Amino acid sequence: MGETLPLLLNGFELALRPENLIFAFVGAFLGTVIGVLPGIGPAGALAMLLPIVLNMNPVGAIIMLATLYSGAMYGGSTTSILLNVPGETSSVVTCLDGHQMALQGRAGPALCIAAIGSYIAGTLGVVGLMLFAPLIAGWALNFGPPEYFALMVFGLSAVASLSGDSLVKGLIAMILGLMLATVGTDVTGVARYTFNMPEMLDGVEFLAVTIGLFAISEVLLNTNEMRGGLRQSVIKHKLFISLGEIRESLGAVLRGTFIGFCVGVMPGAGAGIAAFLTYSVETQVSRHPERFGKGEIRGVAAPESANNAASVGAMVPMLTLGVPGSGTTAIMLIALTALNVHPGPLMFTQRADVVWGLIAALYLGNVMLLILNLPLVGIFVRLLYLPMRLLLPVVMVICVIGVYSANQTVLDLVFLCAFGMLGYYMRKHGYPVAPVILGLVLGNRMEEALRQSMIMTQGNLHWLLERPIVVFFLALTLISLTAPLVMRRLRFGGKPVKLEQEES
Amino acid sequence: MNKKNQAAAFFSADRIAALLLLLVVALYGWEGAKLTAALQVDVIGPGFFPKILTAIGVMLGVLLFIRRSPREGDDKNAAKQGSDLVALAPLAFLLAYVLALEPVGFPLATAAFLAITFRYLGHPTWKSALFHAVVITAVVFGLFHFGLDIKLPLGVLAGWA
Repeated sequence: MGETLPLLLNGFELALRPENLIFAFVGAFLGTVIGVLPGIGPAGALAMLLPIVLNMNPVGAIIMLATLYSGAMYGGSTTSILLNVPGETSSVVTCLDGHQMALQGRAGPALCIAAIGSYIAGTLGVVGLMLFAPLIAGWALNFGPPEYFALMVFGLSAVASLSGDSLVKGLIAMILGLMLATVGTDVTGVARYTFNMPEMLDGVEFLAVTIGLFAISEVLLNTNEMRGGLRQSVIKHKLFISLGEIRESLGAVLRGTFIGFCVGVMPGAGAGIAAFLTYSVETQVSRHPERFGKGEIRGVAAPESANNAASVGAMVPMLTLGVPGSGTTAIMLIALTALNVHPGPLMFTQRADVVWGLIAALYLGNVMLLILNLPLVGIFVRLLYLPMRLLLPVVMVICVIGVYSANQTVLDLVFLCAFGMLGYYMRKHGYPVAPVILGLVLGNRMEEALRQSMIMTQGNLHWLLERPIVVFFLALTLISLTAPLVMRRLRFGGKPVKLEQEES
Repeated sequence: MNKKNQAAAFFSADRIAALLLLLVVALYGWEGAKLTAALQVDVIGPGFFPKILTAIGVMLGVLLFIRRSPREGDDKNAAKQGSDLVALAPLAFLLAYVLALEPVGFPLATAAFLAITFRYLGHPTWKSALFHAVVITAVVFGLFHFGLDIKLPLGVLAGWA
């Protein structure tokens, strides 16, 4: 920690420059706006705004990405509490007690504790990141291609098995992503699956796949559900929370933070599972378990802290190993790579400025959210009254601009439509979409690691079982593939836990 | 249960998806088998990884086909199926829009796309839909083309700018 503190201070110095503060503000604001809008989760929000962000300078872009991410997460909790509409899986649990509180006229305290819990969790999460990330990065410096290959196998299988409602469907999504990754020129210069089209030599455009799968499919699903009618919001202003309520929730916040961070670090698990797990722990440690589900403030504090801590924790494998554990961090990885920043263990020594700038920005995002969200919550909620018939087509136009701006080819836009349709089908039929993105992001590096491993050992597979770290990751892979069976047995509030949709 | 229902039960959404997946994987494997190495030193060659993926893909396709359909899942999906057209029409508009983007140009194509989609999604009158579409197109175009310097095709309006 001795040497990381000055680096972090440098990061803050960078993040606190006026222009970067503006980026942070805009990011937090836009993130919250999109997070509040129904149906567009953090991954969709990031994907949509990615093209704009990529036009900026790297530091500003990274700061904006980090704050967008936190903003989108927070926006989801606001709608959960006020409208009982979770923006994404990670805030499903918040609905249980949060919306009850709102119905009882305690929306203010619920929103406050969500913000305060997120803030504390974010802060402690950043401390955790500071402590753990350099350790993991240092450990990973010893990784050779076989270790990386095994790590990526583990990362992919974990995401595939934990993010959908069926293991087979998750794995199918993963294999589609890996297949897409093989399109284009491979490292030896052979063109694969390009069908003699020069535009395809660089492979399938990430933006088209990501925006199609996450954003267009969400819009299509929403047009499908549009006839749901207007939702009634409940805001009765008792805006501020009492000290007593904060004191009451503090334990829940800390437990949520700890569990959330640990779960977040594991690939695939992510914020949704963290929130579920914390909530069930809270009901067990509480002296009044019967109050949960009826507007118990700790029922909001715990999952909200957990999902925020998990989203910081999820940065650990992405930054230190270059292996993202969720759809959102995969998009972050794409963005960083496009900005010529290559996450991995070396980044901590070679691009320390970027790493700590990002960590500082994440922290700053939490502060921004605290300042921004409490006073502006009334405005954000009004966004929900924007007519969907106007909103959805405009979102599609922005997606088109974003994809077109990358290469100026119509082919990318046709891919956008195709992946929009694929995403629509997948989501509707219980296939998670995050593994597709992960497969696409990791595919080439996985193949390269496999190739190098085979070259190292002259083409035999002994390396699989001779290296302890490889064995360790392969064992984790087996565990992660059997985990869903165990998870299904886990009972939650008398009902089986249903982890539907992908973890974003 | 008559024959028709039996067939419907046999070809559940998952089974059709499994057959499609197997078709895609087969084509993928077929194309992949034709790949040959460019370098002599390359131990595994460009077709090795696709071969592994093909094998896994076939396995997953078969698993999806033979596995028992989830209990409640099918009913839920069947109930939703009727509304697929509601979502697919905007997708068709979107496809027409992106194909028109370069020849017609961003401003006109966008305004037309927005007006049609607004109206389709329940905007009260054509006149108002068109008005909203033109205003929003102008704002979006101004913001991206001038504000963020993202160059968008002008198409038929190219001579004017």
